[in-house]
Amino acid sequence: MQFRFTDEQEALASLAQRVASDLSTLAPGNDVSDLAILVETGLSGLTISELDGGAGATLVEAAIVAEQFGQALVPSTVTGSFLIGPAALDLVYEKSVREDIAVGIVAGRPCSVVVGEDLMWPPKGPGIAWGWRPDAVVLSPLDDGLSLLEDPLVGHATEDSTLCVAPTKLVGPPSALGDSAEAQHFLAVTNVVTACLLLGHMRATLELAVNYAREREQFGVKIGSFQAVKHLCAEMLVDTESSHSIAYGAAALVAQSSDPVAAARSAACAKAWCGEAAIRVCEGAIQVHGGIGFTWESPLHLYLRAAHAVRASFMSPAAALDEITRFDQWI
Amino acid sequence: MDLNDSPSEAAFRSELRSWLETNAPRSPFPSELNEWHEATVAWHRQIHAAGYTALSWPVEAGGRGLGPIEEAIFAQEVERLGISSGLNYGFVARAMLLFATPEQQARFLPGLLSGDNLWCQGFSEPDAGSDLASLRTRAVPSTKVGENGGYLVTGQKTWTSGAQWADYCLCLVRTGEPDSRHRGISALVIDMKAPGVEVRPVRTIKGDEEFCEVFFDQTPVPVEDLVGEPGQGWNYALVTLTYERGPADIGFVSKYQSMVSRLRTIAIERRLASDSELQRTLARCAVGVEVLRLHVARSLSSRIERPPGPEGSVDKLLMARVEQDLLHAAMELTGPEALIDDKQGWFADYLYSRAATIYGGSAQIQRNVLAERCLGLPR
Repeated sequence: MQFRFTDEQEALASLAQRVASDLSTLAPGNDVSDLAILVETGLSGLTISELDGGAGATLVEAAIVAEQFGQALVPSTVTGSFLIGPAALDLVYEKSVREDIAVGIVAGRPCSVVVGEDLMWPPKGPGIAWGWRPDAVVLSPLDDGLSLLEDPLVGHATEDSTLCVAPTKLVGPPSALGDSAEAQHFLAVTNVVTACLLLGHMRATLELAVNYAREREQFGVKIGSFQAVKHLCAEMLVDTESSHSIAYGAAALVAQSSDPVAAARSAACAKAWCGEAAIRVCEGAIQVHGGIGFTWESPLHLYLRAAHAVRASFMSPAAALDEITRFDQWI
Repeated sequence: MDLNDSPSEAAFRSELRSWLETNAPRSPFPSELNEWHEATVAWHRQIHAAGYTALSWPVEAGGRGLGPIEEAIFAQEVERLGISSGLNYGFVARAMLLFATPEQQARFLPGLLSGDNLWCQGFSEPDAGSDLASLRTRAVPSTKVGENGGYLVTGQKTWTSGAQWADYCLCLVRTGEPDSRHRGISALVIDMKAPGVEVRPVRTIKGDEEFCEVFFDQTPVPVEDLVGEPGQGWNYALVTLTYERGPADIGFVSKYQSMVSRLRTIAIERRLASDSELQRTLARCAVGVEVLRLHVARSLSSRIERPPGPEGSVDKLLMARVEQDLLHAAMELTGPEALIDDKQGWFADYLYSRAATIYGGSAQIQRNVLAERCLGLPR
């Protein structure tokens, strides 16, 4: 048993960090619609098979990139297209369509997967379009698989930079994702990728909180010397490190594929745990910052908004808990 | 990242499984404390005879020369059967291995590992709990002790697990000035049959007498039983407290996993299985256990490269969170019945779970450790 990254994976994390700083919505000068850097660095085709011109990497590598992208608040046009999109391809039954999309993703063409929190289309509640933008290929559930949504501009989706995702009212024929092995695998991947995005949000906000607590003075001392602040930060660290363990542990289990059902269960655990932990950590960071954390002077609200969007996407923590109940063959 | 057993780990696991199949006790240990203790000691001696103690120790020190992962596999496989993994001597033995002289190791380690001698750890005092460095049990040098002189020890220890059965106590005492804090603390091996030692069991929240107060009144300790150098006791304390939340923690994962499935069975028996709130409560417990399982796997991997450090406090706090959530769920499910007739022990386990945030460094202390030593917040 080895729960640690290889040197290549550490190098990938540094590369992803560099790319993430170019695609971060936090830096006002960035043009996040320009995806050329993903193609140049090979990250666009990271998990696309080598046959289709990709790098054929595993979910662990996708997870590493997701954490970095979550840390820098890279928008869902990127995470959806290049981390979630490739996993959706197994659900596209028409071979030629699938190959076209795969080659497109490697070349940097955005690919959106639209599905509601209830994994239905159209969703009963609001849906969130991962990777949606006007020029994206749009996939939505149809006949126990995913198909191209022919006229995605029926209805409307709005890009909201503060959410890093596009809330959408797109419409299409009603259908569910189904429960084929491919669908289960796709959901396991979305659970791991979203858990790692949330992990990135946790790392970033914990760091902001700790740096602030080291600098900010009140009552003539750094506020980080107060136990009330220390203990809050320590609990945020427990949330963050335990989230790392479950998110990457689940990624490795899904990638190993020796027991897909157990792996899918771990992935659901990752989403259930990280979905709740990320909100606690983002809120904790706002609490440590006091008044500043409540304003747009601080980026913390952006992380909190993004965390809520990512948490509710694909499988919410509550839906993940119900999934675990089913896995454990209860009732 | 590879969460499967390596070939050598798999070989160890299968060898262990077949040994357990023929040798593990068939029924759970008795719940009465003294009977439970006797069963545990007998089982520990059996484990030792088969070569399954001190798995991660060097061969020349009486170990198997394996890694922390094999140790964890052992705890996991044994706890899976619902029995204990033997005497919890690990942290005392580790301190002796790291700090005792070769003569002391030759004298004490064989009996400590085999379970022929039973040990306890004399750390906390009535006025020195979290603030361990303020301990006041005095060791005064005396030429009248033994052949080469030694110390006369006077003071009181408390919350000392297993003192009523122990042959020896690894005891922290003050050899420096009263206000010398952590600099003036030494570690002594005290013979529990020596004059002036009195043990009084303490009734715990569960109602049993698992730990004790220990009084020393001019108890003679020969200088040969000073562990390492005078004034180094604080280092021993830090090491044993780190190892107390060490690899064996993974045995708890099996215990928690079986608790979750027992709770699920109770819910089904009581026709509460379709209660969606209860389902989510139990699913949330199952999630916590899975998170702990993978977190411990990660900690074990890093322990192969370096000894446990302050980040171990994450493991400790996480374990306490998972255990206490689990026992809260148990109380919710079993309700007043467990209070009236605790046949399955849920109420006792619930009460015991309060210790998870107290023993081995309280949750407050663990949070201070993380804040100051991992996050770099000012002291």
